[in-house]
Amino acid sequence: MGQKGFFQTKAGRLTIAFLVIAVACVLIVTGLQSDGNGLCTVGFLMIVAAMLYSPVKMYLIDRIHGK
Amino acid sequence: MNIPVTPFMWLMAFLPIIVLLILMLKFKWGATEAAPVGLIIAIVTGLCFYKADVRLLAAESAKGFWSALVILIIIWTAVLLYQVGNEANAYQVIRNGLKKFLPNELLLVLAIGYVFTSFLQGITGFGVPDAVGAPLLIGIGVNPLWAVVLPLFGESWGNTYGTLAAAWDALAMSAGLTQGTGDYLMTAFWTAAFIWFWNAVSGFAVCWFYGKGKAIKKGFPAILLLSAIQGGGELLLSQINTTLSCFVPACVSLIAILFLGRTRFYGEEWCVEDSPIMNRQHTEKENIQESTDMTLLQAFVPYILLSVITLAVLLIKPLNTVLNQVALGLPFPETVTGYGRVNAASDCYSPIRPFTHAGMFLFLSAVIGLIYYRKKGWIKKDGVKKVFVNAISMTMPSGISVIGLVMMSKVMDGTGQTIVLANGIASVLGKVYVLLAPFIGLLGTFMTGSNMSSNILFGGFQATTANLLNVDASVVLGAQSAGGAVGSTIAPSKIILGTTTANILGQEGEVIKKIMPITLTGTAIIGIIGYLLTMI
Repeated sequence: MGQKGFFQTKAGRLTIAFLVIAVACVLIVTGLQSDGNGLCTVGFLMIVAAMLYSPVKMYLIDRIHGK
Repeated sequence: MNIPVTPFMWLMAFLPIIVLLILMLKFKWGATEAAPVGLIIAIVTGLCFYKADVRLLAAESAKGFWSALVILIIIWTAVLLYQVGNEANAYQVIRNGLKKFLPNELLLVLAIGYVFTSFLQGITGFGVPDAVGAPLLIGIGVNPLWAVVLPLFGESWGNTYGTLAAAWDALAMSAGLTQGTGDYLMTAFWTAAFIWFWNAVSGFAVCWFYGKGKAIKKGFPAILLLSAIQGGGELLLSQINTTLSCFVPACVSLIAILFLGRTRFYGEEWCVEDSPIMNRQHTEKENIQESTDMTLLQAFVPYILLSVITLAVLLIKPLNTVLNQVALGLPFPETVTGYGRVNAASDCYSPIRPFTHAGMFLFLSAVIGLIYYRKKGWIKKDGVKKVFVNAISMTMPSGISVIGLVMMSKVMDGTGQTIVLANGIASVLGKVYVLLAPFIGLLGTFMTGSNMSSNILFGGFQATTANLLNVDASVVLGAQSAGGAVGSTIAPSKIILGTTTANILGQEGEVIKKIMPITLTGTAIIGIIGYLLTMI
């Protein structure tokens, strides 16, 4: 219950974003070593999505929901 | 490499930086939200105008994450160190103890914000003075926003020759200077001379913020003495041994300020009652709350440990050599843009040496401090878990902003945008370019958060441009590194270290607003002096 609570907070969600970026970097490095452009692209898109979470949530989603 | 250096390409390269600044300064976005936007713009301009492909952008992003990890380790361990002190109520003890030692409040603020932060910069650097200085200043009653501003000024002079001259060595390497030669010594001289000017400006700036003209008048003799020791000492030692040219003067100035507190002029209680940087209500409240048998020396235990561990590892050569053996880095292949901008392959990119990293020193100091305070009963059993949980919760929001900023700088560099920015300035201005040489150093530190990285990025470029324009390269390189040191005051990724430990994450724009006028003016003066020197 405590753990579910933490990941509902902003710090918790940013922790998830951090972990997504870390996994994405592993995919990118693996893709670069094996000449796998598909892995690189997937990893890159994961980074873009994780990075955009905070500004999109704060200045788009929350504003639409009137927070 | 044949990237066209046109006004349009220059504007496209400048776009991520200007958008970042506007979002933070005008719209008051926190760095956690602004940095990702800057990153996305850098990616789009790289793809659309600089002929970079997804593979290159992915590689530079991964490099950015890895480089950011170095900074994040410092943030987390510095926050951990802060949480240990906070849980043990050490900051109240430090505040009240220093007040007894230094009854002059201005001197107390200078001791922590200007002198102790310099000492930390001399031995560790990497934003540790900002992360550690902010909570200490809050502990003596400084308002959190100013507790972030003051250390940024206080430690900035130590950015080039601090951390045992890491940034200086980077400049010498990238500009092709050989130790002991005339060019090497003249460049070291001009670098230290420009920095001495900035060191004095920083000291007076701290006085001004504290109490305007009244505080400048009171602090004048102290700043003269401390600046002579710090800046003058650094200038002298730069001609003898660059490695210790910041650390030794910083240590001497720490002793000097304690002696100043014993003089008649500074030995009595004195303060500016309506000082805009002090939180008087907080100070009075905390005075009532303290009830502990901890002494001032015991409250400083984690910082004493930090100094001893750092010096032992860095200065004892055999120990340093053994611990430096372990290096963790990622492999990256070569990537090339459509314009021929080459990013070289690396088997071990930006290696992290865990046992000689500043984060390790901070971690050990925090853990040993925690064990010591626990044994003494100043931290309860449930306080131990609280310290670690709070450290992680405090670090994560700033983690995303640091990653965003460093990735942005790597993408801009890897796609050639950074070099277009610098080339554009030089090609338009001719010899007048020297006026803007320190601004290029400042730009590098603003983007990367590191004087060392700025010197690596632009050192070679500045030397080449100076030779092409037939001006004294030692003056231009001195301006580059000094500008880089000054730029550390407004580097968002450094400011975040302070706002994180001061618990005011999101106010990075407010911090930059306070600092920018002085920073830009100081840099302009360095540029003017440099230009005049090259005209002689």
